Amino acid sequence: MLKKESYKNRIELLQGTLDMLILQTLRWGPQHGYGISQFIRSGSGDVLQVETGSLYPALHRLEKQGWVKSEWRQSENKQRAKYYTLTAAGRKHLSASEERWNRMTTAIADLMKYDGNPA
Amino acid sequence: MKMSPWRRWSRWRKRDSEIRLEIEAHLAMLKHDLIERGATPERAELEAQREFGNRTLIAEVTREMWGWTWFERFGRNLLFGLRSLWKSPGFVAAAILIMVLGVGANTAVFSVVHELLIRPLPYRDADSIVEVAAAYKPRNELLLVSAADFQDYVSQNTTFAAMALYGKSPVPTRAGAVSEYADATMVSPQFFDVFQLRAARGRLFRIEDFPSSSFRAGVAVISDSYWRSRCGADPNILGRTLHVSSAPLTVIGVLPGQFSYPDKTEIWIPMNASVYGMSRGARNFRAVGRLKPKISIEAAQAQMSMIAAEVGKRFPTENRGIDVVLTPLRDHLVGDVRPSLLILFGAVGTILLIACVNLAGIVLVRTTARSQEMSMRLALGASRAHLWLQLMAESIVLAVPVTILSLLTAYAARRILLALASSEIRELGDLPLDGPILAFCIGLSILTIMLFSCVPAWHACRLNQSGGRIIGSAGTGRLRALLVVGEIALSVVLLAAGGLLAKSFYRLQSVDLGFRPENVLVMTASYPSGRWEDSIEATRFFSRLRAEVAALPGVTAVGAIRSLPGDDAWSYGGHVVNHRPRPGTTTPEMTRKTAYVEVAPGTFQTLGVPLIRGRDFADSDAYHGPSVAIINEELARLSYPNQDPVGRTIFCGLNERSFQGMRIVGVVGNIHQYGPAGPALPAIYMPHTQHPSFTTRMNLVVQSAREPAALVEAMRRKAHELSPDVPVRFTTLEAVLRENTATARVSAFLVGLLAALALCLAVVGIYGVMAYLVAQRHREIGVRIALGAGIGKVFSLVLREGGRLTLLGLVLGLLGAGGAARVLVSLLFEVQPHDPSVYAGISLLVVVVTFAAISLPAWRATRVDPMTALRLE
Repeated sequence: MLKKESYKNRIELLQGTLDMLILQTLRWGPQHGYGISQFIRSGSGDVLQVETGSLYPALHRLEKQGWVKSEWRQSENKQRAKYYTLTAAGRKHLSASEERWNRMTTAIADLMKYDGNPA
Repeated sequence: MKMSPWRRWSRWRKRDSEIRLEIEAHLAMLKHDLIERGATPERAELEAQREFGNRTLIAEVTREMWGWTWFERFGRNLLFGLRSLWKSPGFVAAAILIMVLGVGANTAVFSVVHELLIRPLPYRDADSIVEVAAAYKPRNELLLVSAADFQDYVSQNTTFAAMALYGKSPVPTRAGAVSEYADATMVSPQFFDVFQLRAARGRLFRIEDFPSSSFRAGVAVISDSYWRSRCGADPNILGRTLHVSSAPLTVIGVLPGQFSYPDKTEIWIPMNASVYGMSRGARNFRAVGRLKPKISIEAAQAQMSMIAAEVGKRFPTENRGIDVVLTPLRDHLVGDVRPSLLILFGAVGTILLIACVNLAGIVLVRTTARSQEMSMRLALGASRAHLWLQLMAESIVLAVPVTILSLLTAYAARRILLALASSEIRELGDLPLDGPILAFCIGLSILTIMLFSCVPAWHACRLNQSGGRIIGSAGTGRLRALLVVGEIALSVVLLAAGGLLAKSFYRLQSVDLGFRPENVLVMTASYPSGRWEDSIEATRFFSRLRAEVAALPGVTAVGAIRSLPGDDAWSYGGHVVNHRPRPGTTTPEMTRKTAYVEVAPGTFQTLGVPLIRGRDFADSDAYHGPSVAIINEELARLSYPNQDPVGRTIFCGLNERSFQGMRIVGVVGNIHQYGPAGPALPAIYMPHTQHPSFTTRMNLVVQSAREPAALVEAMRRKAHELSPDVPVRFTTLEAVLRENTATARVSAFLVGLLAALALCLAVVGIYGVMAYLVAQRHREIGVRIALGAGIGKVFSLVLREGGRLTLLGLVLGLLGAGGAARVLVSLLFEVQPHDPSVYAGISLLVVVVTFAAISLPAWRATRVDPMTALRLE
């Protein structure tokens, strides 16, 4: 019980950001869950580690929202895996969240630089 | 989005396996990469597992994204419930058994109660249909209605929309090749209006169908079942001829569906009641009426009583003290079954209550035992709601078998109930699985199961999280003790009811009927008649048949009688002795209920009725001979006190000849004409040869040394040799009487059985409590023994505890029984509702049985080894 609660909390904390990162990853083409986690990890220089316990719920949530769709395909290593593809709605959502993200990071950055004197 | 549960379930299943596959793929790829980076396969496997995390949990949270996981969670609870019940099969079996007994018995009785007392009668606006009967007020006695009175009732009332006279009898009828008995009812013009019926085929009676001055009608209407069973559902039935009592009747209509009023009538024949005589004393018919809309039965009753009183004033000789009694049709149909049925319902309800109390008791024991488990789960973070849910799931696991087994039990119990009951109830057939019955059974199952799950859940909520022990197990003990007191009290109430009914039934069985029903075979036969000459011919036929049967080997005595003892078809009226009454005068005898019956010579000997004075009838008492009669002792006592009635003349209202006076030739012993519960009425017996009747039906009674069944074929052959067109029916006098005491037998047997069951449950209950008590006080008892308490002392210590509970239960039960017995009054025969011997008897029984139940744990207490007990200290 406790464990499950903590997973849920982490999903909530990361939710918007993780969703955005997943959608961003899929911009490069269809990818499976493992591929997405590897991409985020290596793309961020090992800074961002995506827990599988957050990744899969997020993928399924995105699929339910209609932002990604999935199909079973053979990987390059002859491994059958579930590939996720960005949908048109997903693309739109991604640009919206990207914009929001940029506004937020700018605002936060400004705030962090703020030294007490009005600009 | 609406989706069938099944589709949701299958989609859920598909998604579940897909997520698993997806996770497998992830792991495989992770492992693959690790191996590529140089790990050994074993290491890679472990590393991948570690890095991935808890697979089951991840699959679950992922699945939750799609919603509908309550289903899964509930399923898991269900599974858990099943598993935890599986671990204690003894407990489960006991719980199911107790619930099934309670629910099954209740469902069976409810199904009968529902059909007889609740289900609407199949007649349009049935609430406004009433049965109309006459009553002799001074003795509170219901009578049939005479045609003359009926005319006054109809013409003077303003409260009835329709009213009709009817009379029913089995009549020999030929639809095809053979003559059989059919149940026919003669009806007056408005009969079908009372029931607001329309014909399913053809038409019903018009006024011109009613004979104006003869007995014989020309047409008939038949029931749907008669049309199907006897006429082969002939589509051209209209216009076909039926031979009813050998008179040809044209079928003009078929009634719809189940209509068979009164009492499974198959053929309705129009009658002109006035043809049967307009004497006000000729009370020969039943009557039924429909109240006008918005007229209450009380208003109608008040008006009818007024009309009856007026008629009584105008005709004091025949009608003084005659009132009219209106009875709602359902009450009339259900009659004396209602009180016993309701008492039975009360008894099974009590059983259910006891079963629930017992159930609560054993659930408490189990809950106490499980308090460790519950505390652990609470400590590990389960919410109280979660515990509730789990315990509920356990109950739901039980609900299915309980409901199904209860229905099966109800099916069997209903069969037993019907097999014991009188013929009308037996007709109800097997358990109908319709809405109300199912709802009742399922509802009751759920109710008992709620109790089953609420006790432990409530208990669990009182657990504190820190310790495994429950707070106040002494409280549980006290609660259980209280439950047992309640159980004993309830079973004492049932035992008292059972005891009273059993004693009443015993009294009923030991009534001296005044005749011996053993080994009396009865053959009912009717001679085809239509004309007056046929009626006379019929008496000759029965005389010849009697002689032929008497000559059969093994036959020791033969007689014939119009109405059988124990049958309710006796005709009766007043009588006058010594001289014919002058018009306008009235004597006490005229208003007396005197039974009239036509018999053949030898009947008294066959039935074992003693001849006290004078002689029996003989073949010489023929149609053209002088009128003779035999009276019974009761009539002799009433009308000839301290005189010899033989040789006197008596007058009665059976027919014109009886009204002209008959010479008394003998006096016989009294018999209970209506069976043991009825009185021994004064009676006048007349030779059947002197009183030919349109009703040619007679009951040949045969006493034989042989098994009665062996005679049946020989008698049937003899009857058909004499006249091929005679329908016959066989029974035994004992069977007729059994039918008569059916209600008493059923109530005594069933309530007794339920009381025994209640006592068993109570005994199990008190045994459980005492055994628990001894186990709990094991150490204390050990210390006592170590300190020198003798075996007797320890034994009596436990006994005192148990005795207190028993006595408390007994006293409460006796108080309750005293109150409850009042509702039994109408069912009791020669037993007071507060019969001290019954109460003393059951008290003794309860004390003895519970003593036995307590002694076992008490004895076990004396075997406590003080050393073991002390070491535990």
